[in-house]
Amino acid sequence: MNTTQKRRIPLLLQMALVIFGTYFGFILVFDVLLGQLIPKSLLTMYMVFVVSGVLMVYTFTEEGTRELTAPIKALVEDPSKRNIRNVVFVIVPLLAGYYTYSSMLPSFDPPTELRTIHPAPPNKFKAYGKSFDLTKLENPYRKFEKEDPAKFKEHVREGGDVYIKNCQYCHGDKLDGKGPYAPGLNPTPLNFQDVGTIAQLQESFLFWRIATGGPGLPDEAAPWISSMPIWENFITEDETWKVILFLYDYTGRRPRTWEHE
Amino acid sequence: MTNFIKVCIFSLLTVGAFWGYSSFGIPQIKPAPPPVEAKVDLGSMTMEKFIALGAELFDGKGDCTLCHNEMGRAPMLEKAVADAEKTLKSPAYKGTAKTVEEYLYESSVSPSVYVVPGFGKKGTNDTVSPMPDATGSSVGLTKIELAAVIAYLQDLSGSEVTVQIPTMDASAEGAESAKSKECE
Amino acid sequence: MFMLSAFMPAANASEAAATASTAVPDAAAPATKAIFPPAPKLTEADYPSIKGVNARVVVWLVAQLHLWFGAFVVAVPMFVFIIEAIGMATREQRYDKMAYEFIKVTITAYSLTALLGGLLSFCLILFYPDLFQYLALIFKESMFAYALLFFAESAVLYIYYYGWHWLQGGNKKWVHLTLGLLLNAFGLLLMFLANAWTTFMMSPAALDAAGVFNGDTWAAIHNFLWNPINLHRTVANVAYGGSIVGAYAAFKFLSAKNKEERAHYDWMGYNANFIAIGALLPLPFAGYYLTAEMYAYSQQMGITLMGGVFAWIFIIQAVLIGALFLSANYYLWCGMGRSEGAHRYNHWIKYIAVVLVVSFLVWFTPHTLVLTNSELKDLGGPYHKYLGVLGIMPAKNTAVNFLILFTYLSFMFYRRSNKFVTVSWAKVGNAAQVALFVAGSINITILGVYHGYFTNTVIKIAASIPQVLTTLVIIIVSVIIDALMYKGAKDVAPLRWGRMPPRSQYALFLLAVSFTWLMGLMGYVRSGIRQHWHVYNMFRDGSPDAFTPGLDYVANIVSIGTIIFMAMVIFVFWLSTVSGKHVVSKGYWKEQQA
Repeated sequence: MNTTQKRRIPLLLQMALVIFGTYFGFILVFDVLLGQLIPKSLLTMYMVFVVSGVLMVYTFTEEGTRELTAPIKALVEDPSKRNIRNVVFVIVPLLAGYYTYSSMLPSFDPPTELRTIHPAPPNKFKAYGKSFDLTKLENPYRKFEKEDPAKFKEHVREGGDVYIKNCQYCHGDKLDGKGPYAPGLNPTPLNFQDVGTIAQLQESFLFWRIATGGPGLPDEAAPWISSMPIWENFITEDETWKVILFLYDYTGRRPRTWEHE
Repeated sequence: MTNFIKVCIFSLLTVGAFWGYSSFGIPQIKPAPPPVEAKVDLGSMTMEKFIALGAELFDGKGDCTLCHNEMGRAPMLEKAVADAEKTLKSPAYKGTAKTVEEYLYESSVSPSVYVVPGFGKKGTNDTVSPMPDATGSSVGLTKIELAAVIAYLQDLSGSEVTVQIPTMDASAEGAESAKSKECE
Repeated sequence: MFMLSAFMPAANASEAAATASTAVPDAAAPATKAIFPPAPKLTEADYPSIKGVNARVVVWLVAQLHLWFGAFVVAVPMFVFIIEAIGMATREQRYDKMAYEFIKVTITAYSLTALLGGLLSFCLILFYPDLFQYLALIFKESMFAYALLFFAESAVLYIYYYGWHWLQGGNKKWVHLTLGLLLNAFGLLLMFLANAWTTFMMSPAALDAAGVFNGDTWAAIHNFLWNPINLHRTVANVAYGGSIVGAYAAFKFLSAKNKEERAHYDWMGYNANFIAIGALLPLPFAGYYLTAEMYAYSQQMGITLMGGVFAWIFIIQAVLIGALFLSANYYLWCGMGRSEGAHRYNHWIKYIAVVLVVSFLVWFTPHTLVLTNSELKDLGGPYHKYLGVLGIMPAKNTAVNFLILFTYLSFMFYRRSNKFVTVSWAKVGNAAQVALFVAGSINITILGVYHGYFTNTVIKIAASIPQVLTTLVIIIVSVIIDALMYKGAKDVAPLRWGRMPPRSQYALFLLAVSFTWLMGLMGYVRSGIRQHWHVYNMFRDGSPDAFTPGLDYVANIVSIGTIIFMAMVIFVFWLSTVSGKHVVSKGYWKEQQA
C-alpha cells in the first residue's frame, strides 16, 4: 500500500499491545492498586471477551483485516522469512506444551471448592421449637424505630451487648469480619460492613441464618462450608432480633424490604 | 461444498464452546435430590426420631398446617394435650376416648365425634367437622405415621409422650385394634 | 371408612369436594358439575418405560425441537407480513421476492413442527400418561380448539404460500395480505393456547389443596404466568426467526455463484439481522417482566430461579447474550463496507466496541465468584470489595441499557454511513443527538447507582423502568431527528450490496447458533424451576427422572438438541433449494410423438 501517512505501529503489534495491556491493566488495578486481587476464573472470561472485542474492531474493515493478516501470511509464505518461520514454528508448540504441562502439574493446593454464597432460603424453618414463615417474618422491634426511638435505641444497645458477648470473636468488634478467631476460619467470617452482605438481605433471612447456623443451610448446593454455630441453642429469639437491629444500626445499612420507597 | 463443511465446523465449534463453558467454566452444583417420602425404619427408632418424624409429617405429608394455623380455620395444636384434657372432662364430649392419646387418635380418624365449638362445618351447628380422616386417601397417613404425629403433638404441648413406638407386629395389631374401635 | 358418610350431606358442596372428593370422587361430586380428579400421587411404577429409552430426555428433546421449529414458524410469517406490506407500499418487487423466499423456507419447517408436536403428544401419552390425562381433562376445550385451529392455520398457510404468485396485483394482493394477517393471528393464537398448558404447570390456577380443578377453561388458561410468557415468547420468536433466516441468507451468500445472487442474499441477510436485532433489543425487558411476575407469583420460585442452583444458568445466559450482541454489532460494522462514505465513521467504532465490551463485562460478572482457596484467603472472604458491586441486579440493568443503546448507535452509524446531510441545521441536529446520548447515559448511570447502592428495598430493580424509558426515549427521539435530518439526503454512492467479507457471514451463523443454544437453555430453566413437580406444588413428579439435573447434564442435552435442530434446519434449507432445481435428462423419457 502506498499510503502517505506516517508510519505507525503495525496493526498486529497494536492488537497484541492492546490485549496484553488490558490483561496487565486488570492485574495492576486490582492486585496492586486496589489490593483486592482479580480471581483467575473471572480474568480468563474477561479476557475472552476483550480479545473478541479487539478482534472485531481490527477486522471489521477489509483494509484492517488485510493489514492484520499480512504479517502472518508473510511469515508462513514468504521465502525470505524462512529463518523467523522456523523459529516461530519451534517456539509456538513449545509454549503450548509448557502451558499444558504447567496446568496439568499436580499441586499441593486443595481442590477448589465452589459454593453458593447466596443460598435460597426455605419458605419455612424451625427454630426455638416453632415454625417460622420466612416470607412473612418481620423483626418485632423494627417498628420502634419510628414509634419510640428511645426504646429502639435501648434495644439496639441490648443487641450490641449480645454481639460483643457472642459474635465479635469471629465477626470482629468493628463488624468487619476480622475478629480474633477469624484468621483460623476458611472461609473467613462475613464482613457486615460490606455493601454486598447484610444490606442485600432481609432481616428474616438474617434471623434464619443466625438461628439455624451452618447446619441449617439447605441441602441444595451442599456441601456447605460454614462454621456458624446454631445460635438458637445459645441466645434467645428476642436476643437474635435485637442483635440484628444492632448489625444494621452499627454498619449504617438498611435491611432490604419489600416496600417501594 | 467446502463452504458447507466450513459452516458446519464453525457451528459445531460454537456449540462446543458453549458446552465447554457450561461444563467446565462454572461450578457444577449438584442440586438436591427431590425430597423423599420417609420410609419408617422401626428397628432403629428412638423416641426423639419418632417425634421428629411426626413433626415432619405434621408440616409435610399430613398437610395439617393447611388448616391448623393462624388463619383460624381449625384450632391451634400447640396446647393440644391441655385442650384434650379439658375436652375429656367436658360434658359435651360423647366420644369413647379415655386418655389424651386415645382422644387425639380419635379426632384424627373420626373428626366429627367431637367438634371444637366454632370449628364445625357451616350450618351444621358444630356437629360435623370439615376435617378429613387423616388416614383416609386424601391425606393417607399410615397408622405408624399417625402415631408419630400424636407423639409430636404431645411433645409440642410440653407433656409426657405416652405413645409407644410401634414394633413391626404391633403395628399390624394396631391396625386390627383400630378397626375394632371403629366398629364400636 | 364409614366416617366419610358424615361429610356427604354437606351443605357446601365445594368444601366437601375439597376434603372428601379425594377419597371417593364419583360419590362426592355433584352430578351436574364436571368431574375433575385430584392430582394423582404417583410412584415410579406409574410411569411406563421402554427399555433403553430415557423418557425425560426424549420428551425434553422432542419438546425443545418442537419449540425451536414452532418459534421459527410462528415468527417468520410475522415479518413476511410486514415485508410484504412494505413491498406493497414502496412497490419494490425485491421485497415481495424476499418475503416469498422467507415463507418458502417456512413451509417444510411447518410440517416438521407439526410432526414434532405429534411426536411430543405421543411421548407424553406414552411416558407420562397420568400427567397427560390430568392436564387434558382440565384443558379439554382448549386442546380440542387447538387441534381444529391447526387445520385452519394449515389451510391459510398453504393458500398464502401456493397462492403467492396467483394473488398478485390490485385487490388480489390485498386479499393475499389479509391472508397473511390471518395466518399470523392463527399462529399466535395457537402459541398462546399451548403456552397456557405450560404456564399452568408452573403457576396452576383454580386448584384446591388436593389439586382438584374447580374453575372454567378461561381460569385455567389465564393463569398467572400466561401473559408474561406470551409476551416473552412472541418477542423472542421474532428475534429467533430473524436469526435463523439470517443464517439461511448467509449460507446462500457464501455459496452464491454470481454478483446478483451475492447482492440479493447480502441484502436478505442484512434484513434478517435487522429483524433479529430489532426484536433482541426489547427482549431483556420482556425477560425482566417475566422474572418479576415469577417472584410475584411465588417468592420461592423466584428465589429458586435467581439464587440457588439455577443462578449459574444466568451467567451462561449472559455469555450467550453477549455473543448475540457482539456478533450482531460486528455484522453491522462489516456492513459499513458496502458504502463509500463509511470511512467517516470507522474511527468511532472502537469506542462503541469499548463501551460494549465494558458493559458486557459488568453484565457477566457473577455475584458469587469462582475462587481458589488461596484467592479466597487473599480476599479475606468470598465477597470481592469492588467486583462484588457489579454482581447485583442494578449494575446489570445499567449495563444492559448501555449494550442496547450502543448497539442502536452502531445501527445509526450504519444508516448514516452512505449519506450526505443536506439540511441546513445538520450541526444543530447532531449536537442535539450527542447531547441526548450523553444526558441519557448519565441518567441511566445515576439511576442504576442510586437505586442499586443507596436504597434498601428488596426491589433493587426499581431503577430498571426509568432506565428503560430513558433508553427508549433516546432511541425514539434520535430516530425522529435522524429521519428529519436525512430527509432528502444524498447518497455518497450507490450501496454496494454483496460487498461483504465472508467473515461477516459467520457472525450471522454465530447469531443463529447462539440463539438456538440460548433458547434451549432458557427452555430448560423455565421447565426446570418446577423442580420435582409436574404441576408446581400440586402434582408431584414421581418418576425416577424427577431430579433436577446439574448444569453439565443440561449442557449436554441442550448441545445435542441444538445439533439435531441444526441438522434438521439444514435439511429444510436444502429442500427449499432442491425444489427450485430442474434437471433436464436427455434421452431418459420417450420422445413425444407429435
